Amino acid sequence: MLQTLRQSMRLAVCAIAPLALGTAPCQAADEHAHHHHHVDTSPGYARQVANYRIPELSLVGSDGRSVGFSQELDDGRPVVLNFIFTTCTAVCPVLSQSMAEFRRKLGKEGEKLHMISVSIDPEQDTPARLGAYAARFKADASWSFYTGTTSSSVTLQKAFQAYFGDKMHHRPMTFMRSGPGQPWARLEGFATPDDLLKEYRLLVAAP
Amino acid sequence: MRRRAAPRLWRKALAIALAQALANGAFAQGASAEIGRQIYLEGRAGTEAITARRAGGLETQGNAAACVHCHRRSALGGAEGRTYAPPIDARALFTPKMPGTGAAAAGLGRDAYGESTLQHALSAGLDPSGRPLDYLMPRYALDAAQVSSLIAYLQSVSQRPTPGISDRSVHLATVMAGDVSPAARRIAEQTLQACVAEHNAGPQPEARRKRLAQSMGRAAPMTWQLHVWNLQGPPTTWDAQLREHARQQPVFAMLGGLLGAPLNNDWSAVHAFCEREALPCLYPQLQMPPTAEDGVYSVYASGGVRLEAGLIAQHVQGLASQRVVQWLRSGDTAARAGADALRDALQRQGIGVEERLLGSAPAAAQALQVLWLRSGDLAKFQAAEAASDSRVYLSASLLAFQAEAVPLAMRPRALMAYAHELPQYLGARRAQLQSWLANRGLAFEDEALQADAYMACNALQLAMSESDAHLGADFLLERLEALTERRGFAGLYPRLSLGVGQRVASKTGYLVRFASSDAEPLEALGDAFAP
Repeated sequence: MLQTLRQSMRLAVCAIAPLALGTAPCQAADEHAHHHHHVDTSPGYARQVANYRIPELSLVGSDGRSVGFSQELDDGRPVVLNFIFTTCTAVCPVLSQSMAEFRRKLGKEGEKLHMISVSIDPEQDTPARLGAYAARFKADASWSFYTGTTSSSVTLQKAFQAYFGDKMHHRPMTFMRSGPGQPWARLEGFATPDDLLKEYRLLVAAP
Repeated sequence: MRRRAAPRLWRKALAIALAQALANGAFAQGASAEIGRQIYLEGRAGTEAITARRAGGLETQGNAAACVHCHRRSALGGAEGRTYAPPIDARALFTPKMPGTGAAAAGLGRDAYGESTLQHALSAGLDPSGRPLDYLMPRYALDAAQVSSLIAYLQSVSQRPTPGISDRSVHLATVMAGDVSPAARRIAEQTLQACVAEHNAGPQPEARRKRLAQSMGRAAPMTWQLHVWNLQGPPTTWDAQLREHARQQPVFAMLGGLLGAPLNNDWSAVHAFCEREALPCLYPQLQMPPTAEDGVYSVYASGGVRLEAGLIAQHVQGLASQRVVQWLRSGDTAARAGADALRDALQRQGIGVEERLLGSAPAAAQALQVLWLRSGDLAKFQAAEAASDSRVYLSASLLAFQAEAVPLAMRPRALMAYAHELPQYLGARRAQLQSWLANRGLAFEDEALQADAYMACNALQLAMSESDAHLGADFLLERLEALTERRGFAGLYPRLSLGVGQRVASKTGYLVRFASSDAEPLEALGDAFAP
């Protein structure tokens, strides 16, 4: 009976909480909830600040154009970067959707931003497939997608300390910096659009 | 009211009985497994797209919200990095999970789901023990009838019988279609049988030691039995023959396979059979796999001539002279497929392509010529064009990767699309294959045949290292998707990798020219690339 009572109280709390807030209000009502988590998949993320040395390498944009990646990174704009692949079905769609929603929330200010998604499955992710993936998330001109050779993609992942052996072992991460020469904020885990906005504001003041 | 007043034990017994009924598929009256299938695989119920909310305020709907993306076709779940999706087939859902089991080994366990707790989990994100579901699990707006339909589908997934498993054996087949030469048949079959025998022998060094202590012994693994399915007559009759073979001896998977008639490269009857029967068909040896984009159960080693067409197209696009003439022999279906793929790729770039059948008048001198020709025809072509020095592109697969087949006089002007690893980089893998063959008393006779057959069987060994036959075809393929990039034996190919829905494992190749050096007769123009 006690069990039932607790359960109905919990349901009541969850029912009031708007769905969009996710599981947090329900967790608060569940005395066991703090036992139930594993690092990457629970809400939230870990933040670090780091400097990465990015070696010279060339990648191919979703328009098929070959580019020097440092020039793309150092074009003066603030950068938000992640690694994805188009046949990734669990993690990447959420990462990409969060990026898209973050960009939408930034509105016109976001036009001065450079969002970058680099494929970690470049052999499969041809420019055409990347373009289709970009369209799925309604990416505009501020969001570029890159593929290339396996070795350049791996080199880049290693430079960001984000290489885990192969694409199937990747982890959710987002990198941000305010401009060329500035340190990177490394966000490990699932950052929500609001999290991304908050982190972005730590780096770039509102206009 | 009565339910609430019922004694706890009685209620618990009822809950257990209900859960068992659900797990066994005895429930879900009026529910449509077809609607459940649509929700699970396509994110729709009839014409209505399903909608869901994710944590973080994200909305998702339709195909993007389909269960299959995380829980997979098998409904047995999967992993990406450290992100796990648990099994959700009826057997898993409607059985209590003990603490310390399941996807997260530190999990607290949970009660068995019932129909109402499942609906609650889907809408509110709490499991039957009241614990929140994973961050990635969306909250679905499904009504009670749709949840019943989903349950009916998950029951059908749990109960899908796996063919080809008998008592302690897993039955396998390899297909020899058409007029396969006796030598090729023998070599491929011996290689596959040796690999099957290797599996059946188990881990040898450990076997004797384990006899010393019974407690160290593992349950005897299922033995594998390989059957050879010969297909004769025209390809139009192959489907009926395949069905008859499968009726006499159902199989769990198809390994490798050879196609006899060199000019009529039509594997589509076998492809269609594998798809219809949900039969995993791993790495048949083909110059031209059927277009694999929409297939689920057929996995091909390489795109063959279509990959070569892509390699050539990429090179032609970078050139100033862009008049292209393609040559092929009438009736050669692999050549036809290569020529069609190249024409389409070049036309997308605004480059016009002419096509000539062997025996027509020679092309204009400045044209780039693409020769979709086999060795005999190539020699004749060169003889007729002895004075020409215009660039020719060649298909290595049509020449069976025999560089010697290219006439000496043609070599200086030839570039060959080459979708194998370069011979000079194959040393370690070749040695591995040679020693594997030698340890099984087999001669190193035909590298391509033996490497491909071994690669097919190795793929099965790899996938089964994380699966079991009773878990079915879908789970087998999901393991192969996950494991190939890191641990697959790449045979003669530059590199293998698969992923969700990817059905061609080797995606790269080289353009090579003929070097003067005898040590390395083939010289790549750059790294292997994916067009």
